[in-house]
Amino acid sequence: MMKTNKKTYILFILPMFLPFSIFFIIPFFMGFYYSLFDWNGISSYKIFVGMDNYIRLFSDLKYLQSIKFSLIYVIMYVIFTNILALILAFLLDRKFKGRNLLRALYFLPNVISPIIAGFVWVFIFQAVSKNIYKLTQVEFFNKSWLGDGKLAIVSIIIVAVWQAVGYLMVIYIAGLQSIDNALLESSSIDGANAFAKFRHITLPLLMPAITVNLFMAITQAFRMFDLNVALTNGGPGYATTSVALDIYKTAFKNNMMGYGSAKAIVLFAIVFTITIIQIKYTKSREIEV
Amino acid sequence: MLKKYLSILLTVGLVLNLLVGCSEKTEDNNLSESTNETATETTNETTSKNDEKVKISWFQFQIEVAEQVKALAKAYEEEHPNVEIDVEVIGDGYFDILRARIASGETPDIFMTKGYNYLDLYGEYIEDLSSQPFADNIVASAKPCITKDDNIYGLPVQMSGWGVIYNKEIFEKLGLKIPTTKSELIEVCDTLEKNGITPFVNQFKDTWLLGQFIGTGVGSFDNPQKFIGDMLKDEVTFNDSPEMIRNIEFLDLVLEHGQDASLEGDWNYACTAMGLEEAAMILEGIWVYDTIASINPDIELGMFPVPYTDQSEDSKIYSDVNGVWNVYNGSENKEVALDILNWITSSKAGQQFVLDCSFIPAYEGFDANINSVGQDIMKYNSEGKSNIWGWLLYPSGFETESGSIYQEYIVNDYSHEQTLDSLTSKWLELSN
Repeated sequence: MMKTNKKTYILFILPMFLPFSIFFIIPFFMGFYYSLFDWNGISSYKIFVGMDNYIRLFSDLKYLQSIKFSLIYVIMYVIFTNILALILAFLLDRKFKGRNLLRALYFLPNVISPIIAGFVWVFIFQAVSKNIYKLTQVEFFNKSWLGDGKLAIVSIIIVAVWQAVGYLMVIYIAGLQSIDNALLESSSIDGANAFAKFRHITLPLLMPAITVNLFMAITQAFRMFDLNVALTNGGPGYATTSVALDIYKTAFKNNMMGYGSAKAIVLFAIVFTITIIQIKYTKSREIEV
Repeated sequence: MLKKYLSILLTVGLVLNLLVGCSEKTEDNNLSESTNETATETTNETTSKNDEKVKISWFQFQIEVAEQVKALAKAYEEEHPNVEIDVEVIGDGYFDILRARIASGETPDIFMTKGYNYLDLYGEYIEDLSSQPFADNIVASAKPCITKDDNIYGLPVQMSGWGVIYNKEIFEKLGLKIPTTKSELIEVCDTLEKNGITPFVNQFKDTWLLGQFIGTGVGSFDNPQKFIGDMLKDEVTFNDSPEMIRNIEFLDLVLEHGQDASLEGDWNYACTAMGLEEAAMILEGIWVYDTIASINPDIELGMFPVPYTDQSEDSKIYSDVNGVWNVYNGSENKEVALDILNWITSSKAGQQFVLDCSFIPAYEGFDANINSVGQDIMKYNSEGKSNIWGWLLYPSGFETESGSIYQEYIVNDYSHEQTLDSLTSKWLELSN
């Protein structure tokens, strides 16, 4: 019998809540405050413009284009990372020699800072790929991975998925291991094939892991910045400018801090809406045995 | 029992983490408070400056000369034992951090900008230096950058140059002369291609480089400020400027005679191509010299003016001040900061600094120890064959945004007219 002591509850959350409010909550409200001004981020005076910044961004073609790019990126990222992570989790759930080593290897890219990963992959895409082409004359390696507008997004996805798969895989493995084997065995006896087992037993019981992974994938994808800067810096032209990069450039390169803050608040609203819907949906599918 | 102790220990450790950030600050406060106390105790007629250490914060970009700047600060400290200089050198993100410092009230006593529009942007915080002794020592070609409303607001760090950097050995081997017109340049490219050498390596993945290239168009105007003023009043666009039209036409030329993957070239790619002598020419500034030389120490590089047209009088290099030292007008130790700047232009250590950095001097009567590209720049400067760095007149953000617009032109095959119109509207948008 456990008594829920409210005071203990609050004390436990406090050490985390304090930095969280300093680095996230307070800046969020400050950002909203700045978004109502025309300010270049440097001078000590700002001009109050109310909702002007918000009205402006709805007709800002580059901003809308960056949102479109980010949405396409998020969809591709979420699908590829989750499907690959799930496949890997299944494969690495069976017992075999070297399983732990493989798990570690797949997780390793996640440990590298995205900026460093980006620069290493720039070298791979530009120099290594060209040299492989020189040796093998296979056309695949002669592509302009980072210079071709349509191909560049694929290149970013390749590096991003390479980095993220390990992390999601670990969560899926944990989810898979929490499923009681007895359920799967008894369904086999009842005549269920692999597909039916997956669809009616594994998938529903895996929902908590899917909730977490989808949420993380969606928010990670929207926040993607370091990779973007390291690989393409938004180019060629504006072809791979994500909304995070567009906001950064507006606020810090073009010295329009108020306008950039407004864009950031709108981004928050979009991500918030999407994740709320996602969590509500997947949570409703969670089953507890 | 053990578990309980362990969990208490961990909780305490977590909470202590929060205090780590705070404790450093209070320690600093305690230190400065105590020095103030000792200072007031030992003060006599002379100012307290002589008794306690004056701390100067010096904020610097240009990481390529970080060591030399720190040595310079040390030299000043040795001559003035009561001064302590804290030099911070930042590469990428310099202006972001400077902005953060200003916002938090920790504006550095000495900080760098790029002059021109930066004098307006940071105008609130920059001291007027017209009455300083060094103001008369600055070379004429450095004055436009640091002058606002006929007053001088900064000390130039160095002169620098931008143009066509070329491999002297390759030119000599193939018997090529420096092209002074566009047609001569095309002939040079043809000869290079026949001999299996890529004429130009185009560093067009870096939007800032494209932004500088566009800036050579703006820098070629007879009266850049007037054109910009008219453009802001919607009276002209870049399509009305022959200098901008020939700029984008020249872009076509270097693309045609450049590497295949025109937008793959970034700094490393370009310096490697020049270093390995796979390419003979690059549109860039003198600052690539060290990187290329580190790949190929025996390489012989020079610079020649950009042959925009078939009239050789139009061929110019682009030379201007690269980096300006400003003094914070609200600094507690303003006199010391001003003294440091004066000392740079008048002391032996200052002269040594210019030699150590291989700078092209911005001050009269200074000796120079510069590489072959720098010598070419000084030569063309003295012949009057140079224009200003137009990109220093840009509104904030235009340098990279204009580069992105040129990149879109390259990828999407827009028309010249469309692209120059995009540049014009982007300029207006960023000048709002």
